[in-house]
Amino acid sequence: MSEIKNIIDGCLKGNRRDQELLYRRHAAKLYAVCLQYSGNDEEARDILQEGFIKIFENLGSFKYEGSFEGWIRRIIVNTALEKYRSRHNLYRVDDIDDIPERDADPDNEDYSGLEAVDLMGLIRELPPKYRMVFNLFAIEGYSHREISGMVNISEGTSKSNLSRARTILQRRVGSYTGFKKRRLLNG
Amino acid sequence: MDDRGANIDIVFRNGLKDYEVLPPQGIWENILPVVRRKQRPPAVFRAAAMFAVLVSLSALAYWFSKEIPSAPQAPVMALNQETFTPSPGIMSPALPVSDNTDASTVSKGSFVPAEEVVEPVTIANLTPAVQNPDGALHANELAVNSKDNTDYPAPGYIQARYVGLYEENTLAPADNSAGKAPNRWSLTALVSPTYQSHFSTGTNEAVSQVMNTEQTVLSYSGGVALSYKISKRFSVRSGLYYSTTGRELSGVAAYSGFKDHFYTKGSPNFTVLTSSGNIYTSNNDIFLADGLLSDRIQTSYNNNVFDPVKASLTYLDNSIQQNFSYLELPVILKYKIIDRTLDFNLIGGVSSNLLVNNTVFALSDNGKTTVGTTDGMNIITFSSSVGMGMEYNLSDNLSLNLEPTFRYYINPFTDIPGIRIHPYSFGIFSGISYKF
Repeated sequence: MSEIKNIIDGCLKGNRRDQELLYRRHAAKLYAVCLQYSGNDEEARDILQEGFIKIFENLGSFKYEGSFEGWIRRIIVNTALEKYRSRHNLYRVDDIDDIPERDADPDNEDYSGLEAVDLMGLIRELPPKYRMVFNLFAIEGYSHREISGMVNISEGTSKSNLSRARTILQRRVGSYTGFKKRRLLNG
Repeated sequence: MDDRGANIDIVFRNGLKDYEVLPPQGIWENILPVVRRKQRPPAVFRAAAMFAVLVSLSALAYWFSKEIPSAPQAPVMALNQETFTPSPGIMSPALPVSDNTDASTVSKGSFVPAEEVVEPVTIANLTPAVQNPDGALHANELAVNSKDNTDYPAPGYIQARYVGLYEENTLAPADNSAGKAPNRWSLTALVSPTYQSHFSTGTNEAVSQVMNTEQTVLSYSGGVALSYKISKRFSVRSGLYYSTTGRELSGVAAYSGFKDHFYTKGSPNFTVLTSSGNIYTSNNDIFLADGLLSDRIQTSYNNNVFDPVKASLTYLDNSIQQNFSYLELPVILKYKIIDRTLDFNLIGGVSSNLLVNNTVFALSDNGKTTVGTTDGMNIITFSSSVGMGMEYNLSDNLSLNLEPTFRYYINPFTDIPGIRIHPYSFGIFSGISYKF
């Protein structure tokens, strides 16, 4: 903690070297978060850029009471959320609202062949409102009540969106792992 | 469904827990200027802040100067000491006093209220010892009674006589210097951190773009000056100052280890456009890349033909700094507004500045690495300055100085087609003076 404290202190004093060090240390992990919340690379870049500017602006309010990684991740997630809210009206998901509840048995599904890059690709293919709820619930650990306040939807809608996100993911995971297995078997 | 759903949640949560993706290049270069701009208030606010400090200090000094008693009152204060008992022999010829004890014999036309007469001189302490050891006389009699009841300008007369006696008989050591010639010369050492900025007239698209990526670095100025007091109020000062100034060019990444890769001979590997002129690299071991502007660096080694990361060059910094040093020869006129223990002066003058150092370097953990020089800098520049000086006299010979000063450069540091950039600076000079 003392090392990160030194870096933060340097950043607060305007030391450019510490500012760049802080960025270089956390950029890769936070960019992965940005990708996870965005449908395209340009949006991910915007989130990372705006998020880091907020991080530097608010460094003085970090109280060293929790993990610094968790604190900066929350700022990035909030930035992604703001971007989502600002574009909310642009997103349309009507075309996939009639997805059948399930066509795979997740308990018996084999996820062993999936790598992080595959999982990331699957999440990013989700419609924005499903992706947002799935990320907030499954990855960040927020409750439906919290999500309803964050995304301006009802708790019921949040549950429904999560359910649909899971269904889509299970179906796609199934087809994706099947495809990978077939490809491996066929050489 | 929830349990089965939770299963896939865990797959994603664990699978992405430590996932990292390198962000595309250029993001940091976009973040940095915003962060730095937000950390530094705009130049106009900084200038306003400096002006406010200048005015506040001046007002404070003026207020203090009014509060502190002026020097001529000091001997009178000495007379107030209870231990002071001048001999009758000294006093008697000076004060024509009659036996008349009637205070009403105060002269007609020049009557002065008793408090005005008594209080400044505090004659009450003197009278018994001078005229009447029995204490029979009143203090007022000393001031106003004479043998012929002539009109005396009582307070002035008394004060003059008493002060005169006081000086002649050297009753107080503080006034020993009264007969000395005033200290006309003084040697002053001053130093100041200075903040420099500029305003520009005219247009030059490329230079304007470049100026947005440049930041002024904190500079210093200091030196020794000799002053000569022309009159009670005016003095002239000249001396030799050394000052440094510089600019930081954001987004110009510097790498070392390039000497094994370059093959250009006889000309600089890189030219960097700046608002102070073009930088030409003289260190062939340096590779420069621009992360902010596309046209600022001119080179045949651009990113398309040479990748410093693939070539394993050593990254030094994401900016380079221009540094200029000047020897200054100022001629300053000083006008003393208030002459007390804390003097208050107006200062103004001109200075000719000789460029003695012109370097460009990159900072890294290993220190400074020279990059090259800035071309086209004017060797001699002229500046004018105004300020408000405060001088606190520690003794007859020593004083502390504080001089908030604004300096404007009459000619630009460099001549650029289409645009004239006039630098200005603020500094608060502090130092010590020795008078002789």
